Amino acid sequence: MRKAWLLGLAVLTVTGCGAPPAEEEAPQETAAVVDAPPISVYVGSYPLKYFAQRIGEERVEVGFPVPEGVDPASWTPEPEVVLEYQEADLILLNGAEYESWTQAATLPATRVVDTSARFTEDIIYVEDALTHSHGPEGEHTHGETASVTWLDFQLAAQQAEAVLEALAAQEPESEERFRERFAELQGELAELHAAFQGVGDGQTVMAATPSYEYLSRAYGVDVIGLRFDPSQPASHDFWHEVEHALADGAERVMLWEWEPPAEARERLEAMEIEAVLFDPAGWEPEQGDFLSVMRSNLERLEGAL
Amino acid sequence: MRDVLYLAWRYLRYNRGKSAVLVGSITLILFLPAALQVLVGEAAELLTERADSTPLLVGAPGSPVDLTLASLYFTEPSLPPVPYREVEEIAGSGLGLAIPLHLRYSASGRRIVGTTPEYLEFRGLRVAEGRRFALLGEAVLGAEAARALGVGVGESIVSTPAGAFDVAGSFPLRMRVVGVLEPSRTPDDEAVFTDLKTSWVIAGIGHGHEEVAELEEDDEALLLREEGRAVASPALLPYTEITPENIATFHFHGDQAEFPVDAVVVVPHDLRSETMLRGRYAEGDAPVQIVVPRAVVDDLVDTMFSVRDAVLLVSLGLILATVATLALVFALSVRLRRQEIETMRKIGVPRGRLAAVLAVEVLGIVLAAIVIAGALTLAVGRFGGELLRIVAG
Repeated sequence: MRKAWLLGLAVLTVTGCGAPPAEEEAPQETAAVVDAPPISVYVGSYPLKYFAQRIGEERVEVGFPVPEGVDPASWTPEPEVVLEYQEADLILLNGAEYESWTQAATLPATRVVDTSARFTEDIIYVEDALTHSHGPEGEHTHGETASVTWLDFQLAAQQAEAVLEALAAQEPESEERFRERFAELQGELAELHAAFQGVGDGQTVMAATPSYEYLSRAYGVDVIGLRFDPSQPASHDFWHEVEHALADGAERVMLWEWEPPAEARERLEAMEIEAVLFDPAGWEPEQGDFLSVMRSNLERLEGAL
Repeated sequence: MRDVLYLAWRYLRYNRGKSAVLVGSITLILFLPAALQVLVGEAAELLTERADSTPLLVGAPGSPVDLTLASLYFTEPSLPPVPYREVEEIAGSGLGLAIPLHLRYSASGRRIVGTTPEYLEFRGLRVAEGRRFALLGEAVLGAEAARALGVGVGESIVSTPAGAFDVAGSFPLRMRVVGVLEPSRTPDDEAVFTDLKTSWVIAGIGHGHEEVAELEEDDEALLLREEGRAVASPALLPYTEITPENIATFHFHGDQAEFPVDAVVVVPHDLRSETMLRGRYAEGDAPVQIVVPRAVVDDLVDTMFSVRDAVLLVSLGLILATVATLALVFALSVRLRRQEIETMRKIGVPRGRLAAVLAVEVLGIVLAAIVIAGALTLAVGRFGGELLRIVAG
């Protein structure tokens, strides 16, 4: 009896001196990740900055060096800024020709992620751009690709997923946490998508700039994109196009990316056209974030329609 | 013994002309084979080192040696280019890093290497002055290229047309030099590095221009404007210099996947990835070939050693002939000194001593030749690499 008791005590002692419990290993692994410097991420648009920060949180350091007040779609960075992009661990681009500056910039292809590459068949290409001919090549068309893809929130979710995969590839040990945060973001984008469904009932509205193609296609609002040049007063051609649009049955609603200049606002009021601020959020908002800006946009659009 | 040494030294010094010729001849027959051995060894080491640092190369089917020499030493590529799609496929496979090289053009005799920033990182090339290329139309020079061309940061370099009759095939482009690299003692020192897209501009695939649609009606360059269409005169040529004012107009036509590259440097992530990549391209009908530079260079080095051995074999005959000639010279010299030797014997110099004097004379010449040949061989060993780089330059 005494031998059996001693044997049992010995067994307990041996099993008690085994490997440390599994939960003690996680803090070491987490400590290794926490000690590592954050992933340096440079982006080409504000939505991507938002997605990267939501998914990566403390594990990412996001750079978006577009100066305040400058449209990222027409921004041309200085060489020193391009070198900052080259130094980043990861470069996230919207693609769909949004970052036109990348055609002339040198970026390390192995660290660039085109977040819209996974839905190339859904990219909208505007066919009726001006054609011209010169030299031995003959006639060729400089068509335009609609690049504000994130205004279709299902596409935005796909872009967020591309961000997730890129971050997980950089830091596999944090993938689980990245996925948790992506799931939250994905849910919120899905809610936004559902909220926008049916905002339009087949109406046609105008927009001062051609930035709403994806919104138009996804949410039942036909948007006629005009070409307002913010660097000068609205031209005669612009107002002529407005009259054409009205004659074709457009609602007296015009979407603006920013507050319209006073002169344009006056004329719009005279024409009984409501100017509705719909910020595509290509650049960082002064207040709020991507989702809050879109919710505000929805409220204003619903009110106008 | 001192008297023997004294007499031998006095004789050699008195006949310094003859002594110098004999020392020179023996030095040559000792030095030349040794130098050949050292130089071939250095060349093999240089070739091997460069190849060792380049895991895999992908290019058009053809001679692996041509692909390897063009990619590693920037010789003029003789194989046709491959489409950029191959770079994308390798990168997309997740098996390794794919670094494209466009080698078709040169500037003032220096190869223009159109590539991506990853190349500079891969080769460990650091900027000594200025910065890396960041925009279209910028160039970074290797240390030796900058020195030889006398061009520095802030100045320009112009690409050379591909040929006198290639007026429409490439567009001489004036590139801004934004950086000069630190010396690396590799062929990278001789090259002009630029963005791959800049090479495509030189090739005429990309261009920039005034907005034709915005030309005024009375502009001579505008021939016709119709609804939705504008036709310009051929005088509206693409720019030959990319400036901050026109850079935004530069664009490329066509599918980038079809644009040309001359080679792809592939850096597999691990051995398994390398095996998979080599297996992927091992099929007979693959549109590209994959080569292991080290294997190609080993074959080249084996050939070099075979040639060296043949040269040494031939030179052995010459050496033997030279030794025989020198022996004859010594024998004749002794015969010519018959009176001198007789005089020494008559004044009481023992035969043994006489023989010792003659032997020390010969030994002195041989030792001097050995010392000089040894010093020259050491010098070749020390500077042979530089010499080879200059000659291969």
